[in-house]
Amino acid sequence: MELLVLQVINGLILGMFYALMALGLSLILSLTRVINLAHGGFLVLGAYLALTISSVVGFWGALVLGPVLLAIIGFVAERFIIRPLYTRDPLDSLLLTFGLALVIEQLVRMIWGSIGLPFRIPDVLASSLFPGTSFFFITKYRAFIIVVALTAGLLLYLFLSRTRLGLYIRAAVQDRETLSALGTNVGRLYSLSFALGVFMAGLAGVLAAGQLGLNPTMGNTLLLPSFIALIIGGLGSLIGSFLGGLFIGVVTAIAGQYFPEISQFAAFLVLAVMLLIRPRGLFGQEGFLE
Amino acid sequence: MKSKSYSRRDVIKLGAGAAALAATNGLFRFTQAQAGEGVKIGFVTSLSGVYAALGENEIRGGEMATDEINAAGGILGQPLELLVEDDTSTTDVGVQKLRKLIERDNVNYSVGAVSSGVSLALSQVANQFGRLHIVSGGHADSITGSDCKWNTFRIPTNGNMEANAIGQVLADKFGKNWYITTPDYAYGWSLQEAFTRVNAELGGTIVGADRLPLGTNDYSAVLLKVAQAKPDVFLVFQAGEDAIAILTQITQFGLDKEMAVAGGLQEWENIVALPETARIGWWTFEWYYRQPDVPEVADFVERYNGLYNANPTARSWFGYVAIHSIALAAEAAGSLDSVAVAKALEGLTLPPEIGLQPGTLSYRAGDHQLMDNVYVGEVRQGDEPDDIFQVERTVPASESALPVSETGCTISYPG
Repeated sequence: MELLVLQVINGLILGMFYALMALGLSLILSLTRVINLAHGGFLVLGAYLALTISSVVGFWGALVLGPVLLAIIGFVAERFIIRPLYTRDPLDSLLLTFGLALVIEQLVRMIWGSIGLPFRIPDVLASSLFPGTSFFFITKYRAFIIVVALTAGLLLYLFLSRTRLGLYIRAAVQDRETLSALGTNVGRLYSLSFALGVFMAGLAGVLAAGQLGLNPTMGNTLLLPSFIALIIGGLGSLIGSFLGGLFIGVVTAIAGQYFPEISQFAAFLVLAVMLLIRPRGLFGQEGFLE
Repeated sequence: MKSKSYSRRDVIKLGAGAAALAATNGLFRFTQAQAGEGVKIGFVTSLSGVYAALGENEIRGGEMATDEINAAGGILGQPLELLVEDDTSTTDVGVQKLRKLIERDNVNYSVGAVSSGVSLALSQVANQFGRLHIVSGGHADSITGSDCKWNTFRIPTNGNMEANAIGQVLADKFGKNWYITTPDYAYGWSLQEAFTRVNAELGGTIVGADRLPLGTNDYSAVLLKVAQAKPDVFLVFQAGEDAIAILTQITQFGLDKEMAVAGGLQEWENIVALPETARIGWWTFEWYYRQPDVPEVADFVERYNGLYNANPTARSWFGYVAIHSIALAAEAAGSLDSVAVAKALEGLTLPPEIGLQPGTLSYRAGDHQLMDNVYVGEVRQGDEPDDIFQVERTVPASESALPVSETGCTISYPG
């Protein structure tokens, strides 16, 4: 029984990570209606950028600057690569982001090499928060991930609900034609929210690097559970995607305890069940993609 | 958002376009290989995906060997060409690439891969086409066991050799209660089987065993279980990037302070990708660039550095030996026919400048396993940045390999 409780806590920690990724995906999906399969690629790029600049600004600097740099790249990518496809079939932008993911992976391989690279986390974070107890698995680093994920989620919420720019974005989600007719540059809002979503991916990338090390394919295995979290939480709902991420984390951890062989598959099982009984997800809006 | 539905005309256009594109694949091959126009070896390994770093070094060794062979006049007077393809660390792509190499490029022989799953599939494809195939990277025991074939020869050590070599060392140093985590595929299962057998022979207990999917990046769930089970030795059989993830997490949790961490095979490429704090454990290597008691190694290392500005690893050595073995066997057979070369490979002894290990290495006739050494040792940082392994013992194959009768292998030649 104790082990189960520990696994649930463990799962929540893991889930924070997926929640962070799912937030970014949801943000991009809500406004631009783009299913960003390149999100994992951006995560990888963010991690590698952070590694490179960490030699100059250290871990903490890389944590802040890396995602910012990545967001700029995302902004530009949206403006010049993705935006031209908005008027076309949604499948076209899906294909594009899929291709973009492959290109980014290869680019990373070309610039930084195929071999995995180590990422040094600061010594202050490198040990357990409760050494010698049953909660040894809560390392300071993982606690740090929780803090970062919660902070990022909170800041995003505050941004969207309390700032003028956030207001514009929410208006655009609701009715972009009218907003555009009122004279707002909706295109710039698109780029901004894409950049914000990519910022989240970059943040997740830096955090993942400390946990897993860096390699060009790290985005793929992290992206899929995040997408599942997005769908389970509900399309069009940011809080839904956050909670969905936590849920997927717990499911994976519990499966890891009792049926390790299917621990990766467990999330898909949950997805299948959810699609059968409530396709819109836990907090999603009905008919979101129509 | 406007929705576009595809008309039947569009589907037909798409289909025709795809078919045309596929057909042009053959058009760009203006030359057909004729007899006497050179020897071709197809090398299928991971250049992308989970095992990319390992595959890259295999190719480097192979290309170095190819250049040396051509500088010495080629194979039976004919130039040697190495055709490299990427299996992306997946079986279906690997099989497709080998088929292409055999059917379209007419390779005489093939070499590959990193993953055992891919290796098994490649050896089967090569067998269908009657081509000699050298396994340069797969470690699953079945490759020279129940799945052995006349056309397949294997260079790396197998799970049983590794378990036999390191098992006793671990039991003596740390104890006999072991916990096993292994990747959930052929290689992982064979390692689990081998170490369980060795543990039983030593009179120990396996306190727990978990199979985890390839590509798992969070091991906290299973590490929690291991911490609760409190074994003497925690055996970690994850490979490639999974190894990096699990070792990083083991040290972050401080688990290495509670128990000995060890495993079967470990590779240089995995260790250098770890943060320094995670470079721990007792493992087996298959070759190491620092071997003061083997004089030819230093020269090899120097030449490799000259070409690639990096130190060679076991993977580089595999690729190097694979190509040279084919050349040596073809010369010995006096023919390029796969059956003749295979028969010449059986019992072939590698000259010291290719063997590059203590003792003399040869391919065992009964199962086609290269009788190479297992290097048992500890990962720790040495004086050079690349020196991350301290060899405690080199165990010769005569000690570590199962007798042919126990491998489950029977080789039968066609016709």
